Amino acid sequence: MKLKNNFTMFSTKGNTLKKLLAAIATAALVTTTLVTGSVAPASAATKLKVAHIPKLGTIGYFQAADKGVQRACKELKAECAYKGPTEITAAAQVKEINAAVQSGYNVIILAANDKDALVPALRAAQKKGVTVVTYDSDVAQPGRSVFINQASSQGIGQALAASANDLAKGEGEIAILSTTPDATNQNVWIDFMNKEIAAKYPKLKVVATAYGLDKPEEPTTETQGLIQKYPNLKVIVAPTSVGIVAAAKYVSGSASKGKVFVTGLGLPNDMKTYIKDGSDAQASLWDVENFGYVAVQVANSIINNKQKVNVGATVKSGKGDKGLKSRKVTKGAVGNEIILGPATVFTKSNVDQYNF
Amino acid sequence: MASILKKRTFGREASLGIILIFCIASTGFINPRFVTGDGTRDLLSATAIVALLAIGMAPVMIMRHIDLSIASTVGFSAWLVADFCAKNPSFTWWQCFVIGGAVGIAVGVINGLLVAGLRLPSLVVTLGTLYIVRGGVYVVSNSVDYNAQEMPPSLLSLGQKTFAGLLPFPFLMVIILMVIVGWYMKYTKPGRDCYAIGSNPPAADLVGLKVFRRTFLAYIFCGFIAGVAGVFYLMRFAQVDSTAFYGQELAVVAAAVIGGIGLLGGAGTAVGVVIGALLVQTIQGALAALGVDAFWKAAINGFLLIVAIYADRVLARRTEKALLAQRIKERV
Repeated sequence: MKLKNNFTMFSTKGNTLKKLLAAIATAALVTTTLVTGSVAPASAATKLKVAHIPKLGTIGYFQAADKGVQRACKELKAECAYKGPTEITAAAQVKEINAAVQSGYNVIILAANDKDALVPALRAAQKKGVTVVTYDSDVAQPGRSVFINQASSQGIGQALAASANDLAKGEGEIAILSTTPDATNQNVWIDFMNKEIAAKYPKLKVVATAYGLDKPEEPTTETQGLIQKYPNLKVIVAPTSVGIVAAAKYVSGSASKGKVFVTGLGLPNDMKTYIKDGSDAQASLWDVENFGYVAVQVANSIINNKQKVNVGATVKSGKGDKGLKSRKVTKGAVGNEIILGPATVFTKSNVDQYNF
Repeated sequence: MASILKKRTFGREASLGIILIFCIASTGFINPRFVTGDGTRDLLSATAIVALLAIGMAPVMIMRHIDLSIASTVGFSAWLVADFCAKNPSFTWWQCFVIGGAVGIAVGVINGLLVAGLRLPSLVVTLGTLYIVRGGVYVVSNSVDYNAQEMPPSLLSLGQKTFAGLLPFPFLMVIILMVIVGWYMKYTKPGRDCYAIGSNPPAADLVGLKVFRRTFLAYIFCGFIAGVAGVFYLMRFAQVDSTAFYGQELAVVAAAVIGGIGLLGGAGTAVGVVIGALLVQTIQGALAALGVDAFWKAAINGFLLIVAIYADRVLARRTEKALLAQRIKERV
């Protein structure tokens, strides 16, 4: 009783102590699994019970990721459940995480709504032996084993350049329509794209970079402006999911349809109309379905192949992985991560295979 | 007296028209593609939404009130219409307008009751509904967004329709609304009442004008137009999320003020606000067509707005002086 009082009175101290204890416990757990893992034969495979918790259940993007989760589960003869929260909050995900732990799931595949708020619940889950793999958006390092990141910036730049080259039929003027001059992601992608163009497609000429913010109004005006200013413009590259749709919508309803083509980063469902309506737009994105597949396979490697996921390690990613069959763990912004790989370009010929 | 009033308002619109033509001509001189058929059509379709909203807000502002909630209403209406269409694929364009209009009327009724009924200051009330309605979009939308696939093709093709090769359907609606509102405000008793109320609200009360009814109905009209503008938003952009049209209310106020509606009420016409909206959009479009660096765009935009208002004021003052001189001469 007295001890308990002490704990509540010095609650911060108590928490640190708890954290320390928890850390020791996890460390002990990890060492035991590692030690026993190296000894135990691989044949005694643990049956996976996978809970896939996306940011929000109703979004096509995550439903597409779940198809990949299902594919991996079928291959591994694992049990899989899609636990999509009905609102896009950390609280809703905490509920799903706790429920999953109580129903005996041993793998959680998570796209987090908050970097820090989910960590306590995830730590509690890990203590009960649940393996946590995040994808799409990460949590702080202690909350998960490893993070599966989207395509590398270089991969995106290459896909954008390849698509622009395809639409321009090898030569001509292209313009870039970005969000704001200081958008970090966009600037990195544009940079890689320009390098790729300079190296591989010397006949393409980037004549302008316009900025349209992340709403439909400005990119529409900017697209108009670009087409008016550059009469020989062939391709507009918009590495933003809002800008690409605004540009494509404008072109599809203007006299430039069939003369100026739009590509960039975008969801196939957002762009399907303009890819197929004669405007011949294209769009690029990482393969979201493969996202889910790799996440489950990596979890399986951690549990059943006892593979480590620290920076520098190599992890098996399953025979159905559309990239490589094994993935290298690299150092990301938050901690250890695995990069999903090159972006897919959606065109007239393949867009109907994707539904997200 | 009547003829002088007529001349004064005409002078105001004429001066705005001259600035507008100057802007278009000078941009066209540097970049001829800006004034081609395509360029004109683009300009008109880009102006339509703001012009519609500015006409809708005109009676409210003429009565010395304001409605800041319109941009949120546009977003709410656009998202709900898209949501209904996504869930009912059989919907065509007219159902979109019914839903959008109904959403707008609902917001208008709330604004109207608070401002006209409880006599609360409209700036604060509509700032409140701006946040409430936008909050409503966030809650209802739950981060779901819609794109061209989920929208009725009949609606999107209606947005693409042009008349005489130059006049897009949305701008045709602007012209029709402009004529109706312009006529109503000028030639009917309720319309004239609005000017009287805006010029001197306490006096309007004392002489027994129906201040409550006029204000209430003006807010419902303004809300209705904002709801309909939400459908035009879908037509134009074919994509909508919870932030649709966020923060655009001030662009509408700017268009209305440039178009000759004083913030102190009692003045302005529907024709004026449409020219004002065209002027704002011309400046935007011209900066894009001239390839002005994004860093400078916002600043140049603001600068040009002030210059436009100043030039307009100078011209208006000159007309006023001329009219005064004429009056003195006539008396002599």
